[in-house]
Amino acid sequence: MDEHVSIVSTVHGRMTDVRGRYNLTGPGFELLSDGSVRSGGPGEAASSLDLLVASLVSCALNAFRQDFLHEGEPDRTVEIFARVERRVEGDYLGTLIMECFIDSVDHVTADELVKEYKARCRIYNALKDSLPVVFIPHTSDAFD
Amino acid sequence: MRSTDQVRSPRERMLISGEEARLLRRDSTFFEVTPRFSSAVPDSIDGSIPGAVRTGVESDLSAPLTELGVMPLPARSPLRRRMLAAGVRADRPVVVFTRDSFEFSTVCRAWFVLRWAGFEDVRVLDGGLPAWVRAGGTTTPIRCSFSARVEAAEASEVLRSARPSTSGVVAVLTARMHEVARFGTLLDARPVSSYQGALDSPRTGHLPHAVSAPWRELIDDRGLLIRPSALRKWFLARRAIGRQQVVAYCGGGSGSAAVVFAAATLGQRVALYAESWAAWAADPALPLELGATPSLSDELDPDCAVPPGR
Repeated sequence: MDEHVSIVSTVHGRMTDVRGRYNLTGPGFELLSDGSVRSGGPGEAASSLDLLVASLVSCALNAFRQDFLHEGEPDRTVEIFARVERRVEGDYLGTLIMECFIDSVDHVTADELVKEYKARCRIYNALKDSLPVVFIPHTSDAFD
Repeated sequence: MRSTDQVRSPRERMLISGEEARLLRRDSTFFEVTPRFSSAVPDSIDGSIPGAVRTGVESDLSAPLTELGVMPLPARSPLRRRMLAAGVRADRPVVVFTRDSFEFSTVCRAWFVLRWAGFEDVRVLDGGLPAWVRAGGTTTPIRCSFSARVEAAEASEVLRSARPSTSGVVAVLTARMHEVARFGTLLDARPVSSYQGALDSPRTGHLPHAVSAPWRELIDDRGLLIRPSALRKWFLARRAIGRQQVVAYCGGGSGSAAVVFAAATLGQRVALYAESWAAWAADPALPLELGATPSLSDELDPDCAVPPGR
């Protein structure tokens, strides 16, 4: 027993009545996840790859919302469209492209936000060699 | 404000405002493009842009009806020769517009056909003739019509357009659509009701795995192309940005041209299904899907684990 160790995430995975569909629950959430049609699952609910991408998107949303804000400044509005591109029949995981729409920043700050995220996101740093991530920030001055 | 020529975005090169059209008038060729079907909106403007040439998107800029779709693409070289002979210059911008701001699909089809014919600098007047008038442009009676109906493009010509070295617009045939459905993204530019189909109507619905992408969502309530960030989000939400093959289709070839044009303003290449929905639906051997939600191809591999045996 180590008083300096804590549980930081728990997910309970169970089969469902649908072949290849799984129920994932944790404190305060419940998800469905499917194996692909190729593997015998329904291929409709979030795939394991979708969930992996979702974790990086979630972290990025949280980071871009608030990093570098001064006290009293309102949170930024952030929207992310993420996709994984992979050559057909490729054995590797792919390249993750995250197109990030961030209001209330200019391009210099968007680059700093991305740099900060890359420095601090544990999941990104654990995966970056196997799943290269390309950030494409879209800011107020580049659009419209 | 526009960037300098050296850093003009695709949108700035392809789409011009009424004000910009006024500045370009003497150095460009203007085509007023008439739609396939008459607009239901009364035409309140007398005349047209001075010097404009009238041409029909179906009657003049498409080949006669064949098995290659409702508005078959014309053969490139004969069309180009006819246009050059009519005074269109390859070294001057060509500006296409419609009388009705909301005929965006018509003007984009004209853009596509002119790019298909090899004219590099073809621009769409955002908002059409009404935008010209709002910018203070004068109008005069239109004096000249252009009719260049030529034979349809051969299938080989369509196939050549899809070569990786092609820098112009791309059209694809039915055989290629199967592959795109399996691994790429198909965009259905028709209204949502057409996309969804009806259980009691045979040969309705959409191509397998196609995503609903109604072209009318690309223009705002003034008939102008929606702003760049909204446009990019629209395509991103439809899996249509990226290195995968993306093809747009519609009933006859105009709506899909609008999607192709809009994507091109973002720097994203989208091909046009030359034979269009009409040809696909007419073949009972080709599959269709119903419903509002696009399906994913079974051949996509979204699992983390590599399939056994590979």
